[in-house]
Amino acid sequence: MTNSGDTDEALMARFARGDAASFEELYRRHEMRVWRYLERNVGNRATAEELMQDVWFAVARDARRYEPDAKFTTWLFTIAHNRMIDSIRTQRRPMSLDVLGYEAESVIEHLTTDPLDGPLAAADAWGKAVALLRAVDQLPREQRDAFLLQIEGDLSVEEIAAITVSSFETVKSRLRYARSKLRELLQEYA
Amino acid sequence: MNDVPPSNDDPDDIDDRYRRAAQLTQSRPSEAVRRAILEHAAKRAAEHAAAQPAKSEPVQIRRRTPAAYRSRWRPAIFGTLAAAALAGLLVTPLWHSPRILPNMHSTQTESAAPPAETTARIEPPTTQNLQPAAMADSGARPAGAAPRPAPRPAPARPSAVAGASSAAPLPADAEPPDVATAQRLAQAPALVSSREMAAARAAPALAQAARQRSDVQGLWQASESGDAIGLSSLLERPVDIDARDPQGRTALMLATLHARAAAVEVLLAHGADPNIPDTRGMTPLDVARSQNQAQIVTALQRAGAR
Repeated sequence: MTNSGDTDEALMARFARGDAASFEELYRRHEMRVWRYLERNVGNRATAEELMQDVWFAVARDARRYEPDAKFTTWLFTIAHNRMIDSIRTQRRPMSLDVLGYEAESVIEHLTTDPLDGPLAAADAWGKAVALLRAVDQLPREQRDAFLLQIEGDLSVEEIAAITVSSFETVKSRLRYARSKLRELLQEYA
Repeated sequence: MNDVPPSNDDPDDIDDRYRRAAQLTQSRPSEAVRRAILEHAAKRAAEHAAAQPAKSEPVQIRRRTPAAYRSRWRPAIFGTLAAAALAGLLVTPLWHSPRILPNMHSTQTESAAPPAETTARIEPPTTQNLQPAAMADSGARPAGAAPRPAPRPAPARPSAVAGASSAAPLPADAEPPDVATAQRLAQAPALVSSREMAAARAAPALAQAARQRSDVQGLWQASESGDAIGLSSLLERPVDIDARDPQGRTALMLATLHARAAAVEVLLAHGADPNIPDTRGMTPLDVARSQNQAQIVTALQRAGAR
């Protein structure tokens, strides 16, 4: 019986012993984080879906080899990062909302607001969200990757440095630049 | 590009705004993907469950071995081991002893005063030492009180017969095998097999390649650790200064990554190419700029980095 209060690591251990419900709970917890990380990085829904499947298949396949030395999310996002990088290298094309004709419209269509806030508030929230997502997309790939790993993966600078095979200072610098650039881009949109 | 990174380190309102925007999106993987993932996981779970008991059980050793064989396996194993040991004793000396003809040894033994290097030689045991009957068949004399090289069975290396009388015995010192073979090749070509000859010819090239590989690794380590003195001394030898590691990083890139300004200066002074990118396409200048290493950026630009 899966307890929703169990740690990710405990769920992985149970799944490795054959408990499918533990995997479902893990998937439920982290589905959207991994999805947003992949979709925003590759900028293409079809590719993101392929990668999503690859990542979770890998989690299921390698569950018995997983050793809870590190956090489950670090392991999960390491897999996601590696798959994403491989995909970008294979495709060899720039990933940008504007260049790809990325489904910006579909993302925008997917934005939702609380109708109880009233139309003005909804429009305002909607506009800000669109501007921010566009700004994230315009970040250089490595800065965007570091930013999303921190926000969606809830990872520390050290963990991001290990995942991206970079130095601590480099990751710190990328995060600073990312936030600074997001602020600048949002001002332009404002 | 702004060389100075923004000063604020802490997550700020941008993070909150991003999280709010992310909550507003309804983009999610399709139902088909979700179903495929969960179905795959269910299959894997079944496999994991099936594999689980096998992992924890102790290994069972051939429970179904017929009782009739139980009494025979011990003698069979000991017999095999004994045969293998005997074969080893017979064959090993053939590999280790130099290929010198019996008639040559006879000549040396018959001479009244053998050369000092011959008497000093330590000969490993051979089949002759171990099998007196075989020795008698081959017509060689038994090893008496006087130390002399034990002859090898004549049929072992018929190709080594020619020119054997001019061969000088080899010293049993600690020289590497390839060097010893090279000396033997110089003294008596006919005593050395073609395989050994090839190895002897390749020995200097191999040794040089090993030295260069070691130098390149030293170069990378010194660059990473910023050991400018060690680096200078390494660079006095012929070493590929622009050698790239598996990630495509040159010594200059490694020094830059670790902010070793002195090492960067030394490498540039010795002609390191500042424009070689790593496998990710990053050049040392890109790295130095991203890490805000003004001194290294200046040095690289001075050396022509683009």
